Amino acid sequence: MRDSTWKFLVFGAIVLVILGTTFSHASQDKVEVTKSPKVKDTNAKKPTSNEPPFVIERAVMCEDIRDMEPVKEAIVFSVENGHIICFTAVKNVRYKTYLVHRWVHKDEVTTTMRLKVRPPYWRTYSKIQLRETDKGPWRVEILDANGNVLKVLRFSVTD
Amino acid sequence: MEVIPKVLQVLRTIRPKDVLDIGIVSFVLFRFYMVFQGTNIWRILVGLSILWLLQYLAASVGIILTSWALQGITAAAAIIIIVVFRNEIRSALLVTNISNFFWGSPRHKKKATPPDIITDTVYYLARNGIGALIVFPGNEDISELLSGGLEWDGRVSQEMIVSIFMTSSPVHDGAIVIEGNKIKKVATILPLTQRQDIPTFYGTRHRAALGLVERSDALVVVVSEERGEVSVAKNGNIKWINRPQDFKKVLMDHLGLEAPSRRPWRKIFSQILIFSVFLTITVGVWYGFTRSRDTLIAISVPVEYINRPQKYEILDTSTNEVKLEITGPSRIVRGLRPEQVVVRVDLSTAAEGTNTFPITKENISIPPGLTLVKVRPGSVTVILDIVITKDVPIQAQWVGKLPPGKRLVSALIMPPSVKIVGGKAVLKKIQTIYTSPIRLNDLVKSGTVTAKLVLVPASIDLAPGEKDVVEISYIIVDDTPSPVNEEMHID
Repeated sequence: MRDSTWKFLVFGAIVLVILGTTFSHASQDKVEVTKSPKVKDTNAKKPTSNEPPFVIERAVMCEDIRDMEPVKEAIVFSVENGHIICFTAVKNVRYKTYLVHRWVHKDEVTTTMRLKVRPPYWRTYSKIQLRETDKGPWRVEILDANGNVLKVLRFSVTD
Repeated sequence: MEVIPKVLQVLRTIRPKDVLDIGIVSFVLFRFYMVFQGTNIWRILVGLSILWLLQYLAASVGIILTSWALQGITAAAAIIIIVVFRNEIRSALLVTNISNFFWGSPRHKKKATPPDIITDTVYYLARNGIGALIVFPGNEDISELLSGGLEWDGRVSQEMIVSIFMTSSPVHDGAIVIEGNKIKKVATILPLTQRQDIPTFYGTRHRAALGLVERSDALVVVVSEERGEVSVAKNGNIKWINRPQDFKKVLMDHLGLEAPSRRPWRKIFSQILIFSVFLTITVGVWYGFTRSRDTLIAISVPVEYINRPQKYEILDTSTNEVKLEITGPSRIVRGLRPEQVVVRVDLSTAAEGTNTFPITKENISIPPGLTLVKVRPGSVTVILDIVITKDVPIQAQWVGKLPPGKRLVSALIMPPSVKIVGGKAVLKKIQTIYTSPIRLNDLVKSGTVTAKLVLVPASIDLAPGEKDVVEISYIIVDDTPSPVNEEMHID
């Protein structure tokens, strides 16, 4: 294969990745995603098989985030609050990857959000707006990039 | 060639009680025949039956006016016959006791008239030119046809009869009545016939004999004084009998004393034949009554799925009821109850996944006498699933609203999960078992509540040993106001 063809393929792949990332974020219309690295990415390692890419240090449901800390953690939220946040802190991040927040209302997946994770420690969260029809039992499943469920947070939205 | 399968089909649907039904009616008809045979009542009953048949035929071919007229005549005739023949009916039923009605020949037991004595006496009288008139009643009551006379009640003997009819006897005029071995009446007057076509040499005795036999089933013996002849009148006719053995035979026939020892099989065969005729008639009526198809009904019947293999459970079915169109006699159709019709689908041969079973006559149970015309749908689809056990986490279902300033921060459910049993495909979709709703409104501090588990869908169940109640320990904290709000409050 000629050099120009290789270059074209590599360029095309980069463009596709950029476009994909952009549109996946844009489709989360109910979600605000904020990333706040506490420690700079200095010791990134290359991925190896079988080892988890990160460890969940903390995952809670809360009403707000202040200075990248969850505020008003709870398992029951009033619909009057207007929104809920799922906060997740991960440690031992071995390489750049992402985690997924899958929001499930009454066993129906309502939103799936992909959140960027950077070595070696990362805090992130996803947020949904609440409507009257959102009352009932909820859970947020936290998954790694391979689709493994790492943790499930259960809560209810009430009057 | 289609007749044989049809007959076999009918035979297959006959129940033991149908056999009993037909047997009872045939036997009752046969016994009625035995009791009333030879009498005018029997002939009238036959006439009525023909009338009824004609009416039925007229109705079936749509000759409305004729059918209506015949129906009226039949109804009126039935009442008139009962009134006119009340005496005959009474005598037949009175003479015949209950045991005689159900078994044996009713006429045999009531007659014990000695035929030999009568025969010898009659021909003795004839030889000696002594006129006589002797009445042997049949089944019918003739008391109203007789007038005058004396009650006698003397045992039958040649001497007794001869002495009665001797011209020197004060009771030699008129007739004597012999019942059994008794002379019941003497010097009784019989009604005279009104016929003009009888021979001129017949005297008053012959006219009286004919007059009685025209009106009853009695037998009257006339001994001519002038010619020394013996004549026998019966059924409106009179005939001269020269030979004593012929006379004896006629007499015995009338008395029902036909020598049983001579040809017993012949009598039995004759009765079997008569019974067979009644049996055939009854079967015909029964068939017409129970197998006619003059009414069509459509009913919805739930489908029963039977013999499901233990390892499977029914995940879904295409239908739970089928619509049947059933035809049959209106009497049976009108009395049909839904629980009498059952549709069963045998799942013993079913496999995991989708199974289709045709609904045929073999699947459907309907009362005898009814015929299945159509089934909709013609088949059912049953989806079977393997029964498995799954460990599923439990989630509390909070409802209502916490008191102001309170926040529910955690809850520990014991046990945290539960084992449920159900179809593989159903359990695959179930990720959580929820509790029944727990109200928040009254929760002001940490504590413990119990709640029942809600199993949805209904096809799932708790595994053996699992409890359907969980205990939830919860922690409630006071909700501290946010710093921003505090600052605003201070301001």
